[in-house]
Amino acid sequence: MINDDGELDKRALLDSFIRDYGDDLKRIAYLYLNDLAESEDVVQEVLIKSYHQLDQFRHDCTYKTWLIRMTINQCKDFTKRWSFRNIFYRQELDEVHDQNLTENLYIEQESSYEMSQQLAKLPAKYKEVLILFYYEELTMKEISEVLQINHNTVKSRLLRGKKALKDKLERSDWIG
Amino acid sequence: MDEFDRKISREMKQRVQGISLTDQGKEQVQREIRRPSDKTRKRSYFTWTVAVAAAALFLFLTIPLLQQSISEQDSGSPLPDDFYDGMEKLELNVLEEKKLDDGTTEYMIEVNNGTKRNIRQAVVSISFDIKLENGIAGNPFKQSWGIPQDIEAGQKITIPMITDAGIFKEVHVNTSSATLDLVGYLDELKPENIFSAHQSNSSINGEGNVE
Repeated sequence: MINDDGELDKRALLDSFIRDYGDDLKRIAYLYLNDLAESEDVVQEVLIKSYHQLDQFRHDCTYKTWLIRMTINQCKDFTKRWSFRNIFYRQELDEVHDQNLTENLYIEQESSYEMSQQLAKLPAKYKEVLILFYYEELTMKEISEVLQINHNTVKSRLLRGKKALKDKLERSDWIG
Repeated sequence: MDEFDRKISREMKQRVQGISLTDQGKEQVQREIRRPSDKTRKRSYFTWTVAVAAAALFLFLTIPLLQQSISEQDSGSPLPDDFYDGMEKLELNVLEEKKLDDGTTEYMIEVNNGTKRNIRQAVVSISFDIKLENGIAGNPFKQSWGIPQDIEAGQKITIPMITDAGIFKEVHVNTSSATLDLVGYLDELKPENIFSAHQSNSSINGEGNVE
């Protein structure tokens, strides 16, 4: 059981997670999923989960590392999630997903559009490494800590992922 | 970092510029974490009221259906309540995507029947969402392949599916998000045993065209 002070501490910590990392986690999720609404859902779920799992946090990494790891895992789950409600009642035409207009003003900057389209097509294991390397600017050691994989695996995935992205971009309209 | 690295890094940051967790999102998180600790009597009354209302509504809706099923003896026996239990262990995955010389794309689709049921005469379909100016929409066009053999309980099979470039043009559809459907019979070839499953894969797994 957590006493009142503990509960207050947890809430204060959650507030700091939202304030300090909320935007960054959403951007990582967006780069992974390429969908604003889904990335918002993912980050909400991560923050709620982090609050409930704070007691199990072993302090063997920073809060930021822990939250990024949860975000990447949540994105993976999200892409594989079953749509149970649609198994037997699926509509042929899904509803059009409206997106936030203010955010659209930014993301419609087409210069990076093609790159993110090609990034989204990469296998998950390359995509996560590339996002952490290029967007978060983490070192290979830090990436191996976030993803909990071997340093050499990070290195080979980074090389292969970079090559795969380069090949895709060269075949597309991207201006390199 | 070489020039390519710097450009990708710059474009990734540019891509997400202005994206932030919305105020509604933050409030939603706060609401969710407050919920479990809010064990007031008022909530208990509310829960019971909802439960009783739901039970009454359930009875109101099911009694006419039960009467109808009793009167229609020839329509076949209804399926047991647990008929679809465990079906969440059926998985459809895109393992690999390969561009072919003729402009078509080959997808390696894995059907993992993790259920305890046999799937018979299955037809797997693939489709891709249509790109719109301000979002995406479902695509009524699908390409389907029949699986000749039964997929037994616990069996995993891989099928190559070649999509027609004329139907799924990359400029019109979001090829990074495949929608997979499976229609088939569960255990026995009876009309009431027909089922369908639907799964979206927002990313393509596998090695792609990496050497």
